Amino acid sequence: MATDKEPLLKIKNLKKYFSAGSSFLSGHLVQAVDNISFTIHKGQTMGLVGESGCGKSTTGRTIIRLYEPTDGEIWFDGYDLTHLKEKNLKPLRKRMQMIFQDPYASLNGKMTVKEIVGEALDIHNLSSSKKERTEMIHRQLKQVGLSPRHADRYPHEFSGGQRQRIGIARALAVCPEFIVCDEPVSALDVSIQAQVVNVLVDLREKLDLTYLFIAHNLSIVRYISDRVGVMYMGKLVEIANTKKLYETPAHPYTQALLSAVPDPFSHITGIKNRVILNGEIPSSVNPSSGCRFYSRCRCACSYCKEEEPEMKQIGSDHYAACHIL
Amino acid sequence: MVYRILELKNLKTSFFTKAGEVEAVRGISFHVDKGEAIGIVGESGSGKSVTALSIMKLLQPPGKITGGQILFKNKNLVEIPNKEMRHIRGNEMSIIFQDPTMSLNPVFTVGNQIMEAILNHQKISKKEARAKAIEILRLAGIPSAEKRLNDYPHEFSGGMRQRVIIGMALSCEPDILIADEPTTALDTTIQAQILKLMRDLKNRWGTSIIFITHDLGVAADFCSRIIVMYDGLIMEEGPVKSIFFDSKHPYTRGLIESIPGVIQKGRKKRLVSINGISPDLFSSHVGCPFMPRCDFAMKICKEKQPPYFDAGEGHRSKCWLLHGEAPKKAPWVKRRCADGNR
Repeated sequence: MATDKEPLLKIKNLKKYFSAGSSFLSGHLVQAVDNISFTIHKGQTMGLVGESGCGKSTTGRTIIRLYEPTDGEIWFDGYDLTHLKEKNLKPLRKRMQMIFQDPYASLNGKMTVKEIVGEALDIHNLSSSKKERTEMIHRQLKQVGLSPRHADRYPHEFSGGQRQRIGIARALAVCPEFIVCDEPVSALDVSIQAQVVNVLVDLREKLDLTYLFIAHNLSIVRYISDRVGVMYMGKLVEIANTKKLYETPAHPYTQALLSAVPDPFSHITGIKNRVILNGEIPSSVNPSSGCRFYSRCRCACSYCKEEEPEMKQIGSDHYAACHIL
Repeated sequence: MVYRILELKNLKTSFFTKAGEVEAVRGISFHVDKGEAIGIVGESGSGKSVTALSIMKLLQPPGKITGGQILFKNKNLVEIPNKEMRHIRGNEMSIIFQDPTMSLNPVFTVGNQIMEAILNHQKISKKEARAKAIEILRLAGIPSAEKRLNDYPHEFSGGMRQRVIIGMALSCEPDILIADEPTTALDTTIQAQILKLMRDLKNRWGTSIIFITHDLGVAADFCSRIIVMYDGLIMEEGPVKSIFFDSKHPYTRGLIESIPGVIQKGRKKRLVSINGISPDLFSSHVGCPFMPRCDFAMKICKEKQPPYFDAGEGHRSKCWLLHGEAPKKAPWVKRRCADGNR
């Protein structure tokens, strides 16, 4: 992994606000993603975890410009794509792709697998002849563990795990370098999850891919990622390499989140010092100033309510945003 | 002597669809003791929820119990009339479902719905029921319970709604609570809160709980005994420790090995996955249902369904590998035999 090189993806102070309520004049803003910065180097997998509504999916979608960012910068391989026009964005889109959560909703039921995977090839004019196009599609299908004879079938003829493989084949069709995986296995059964995760890991090695892996399942993120970022209410609260984050979490929220996961073996082997958070995630519509985790934090003091903590370095490749550190 | 609250004997449930009969539950037997929490784990389509609905007799046509017995406090629920079942349901047996939004009526206040559950089963005045409803909300950990009684379900968050439902389900202090994926729709930190609440209430009233989940971690955390289902059959049953550390069934092994541990230490290995896909519901039922996906499948697995082999201490496993004459293909079976010889 070339960490000394310029990162492949650089996010700087990214913000994405949505207007809430019936009228944008009402002034209610959902601060879905607020001021987050991180970098991903080539070949690295960055995991993004957090509970529902914390803004992890919005981050992924904003990065590949499915959403227009409100503010901040997105740099991909030296190009600033924050405000690129659609026309200029297209060649970059070929290099970054996305895999979606729900393999039932993300595939068009009226298209055959061949059409689904081939559509991307047509958009970017990647095949010169019909024969080449078919060959490329078959190659992609084989790559994800499907057979070329599946090409003429429709999505409903496949199981959930197979559909997710189709989604992966579609993302890979244009030979991207960077893939945003938005909860790619959450909708699948446990035994199938492992199959799909293995496909993603194999492809990463074979094709030298870079992933942004978004998930709420902490154990899968630990398995697949080199670095992990933890989000809470639109903010990045902690970011570190995987080993550090899971073994010595610094932020109180990360600690609580990790200890909330029932792990079959930790329980039986007797590790039981659970931190159970009180309360619920507050609304991210016009959040108050100060630390957003204030209301649920067991370490909170009056200072936390007023001053928002800055992201600071607390170790090599370990950053957290909390006043107690 | 432990009091056996519920016992299922060879329960069979089928759905009679236009495309043919789907045998969702194909003859399962297990029991629940007083104050015990047992977990039923399995993937989607394994028949866990149908088992729950069958016990509560909440199956809708075309679903039907086709055989077996459900003995609840020595009464066979399969045979009793609906009127009697209505008295038992909600009073002596309760069920909570996955989606807390669907389980509450949006046009009535939360207080109204809790009081309805109480008034239906207990001969007390409205005023007393109201006091009891407040008490329930308080036990469920809802702040300013008295005020929240007049709120509508949409004014509660998902976690709070699930608390209300758990409170409601336990309001008549039932003997048994069936929880069908109660935390699946909730976030991790909220899940931890709900599990704690359920554990507290279980200890308070000594309620037995059947906890249905696809998350092995949650099951290990909450239950003392685990039942693993696959294609409408119980593949393995045993105490939590035996299931996790000394499983005798290739399917259970596969399930456990396919979860990457959060706390697990050591090098990253490739995840062990179970090949193939879940069985087709209309498939013929000859042999072991797991055979097509099993790494250790033998000739007999294709021809004959394995019986249960006893592995001691209430641990039983439905796999031919445990048969005395089976080749010692699987490493764990070898280990067991070595232990036996010593």
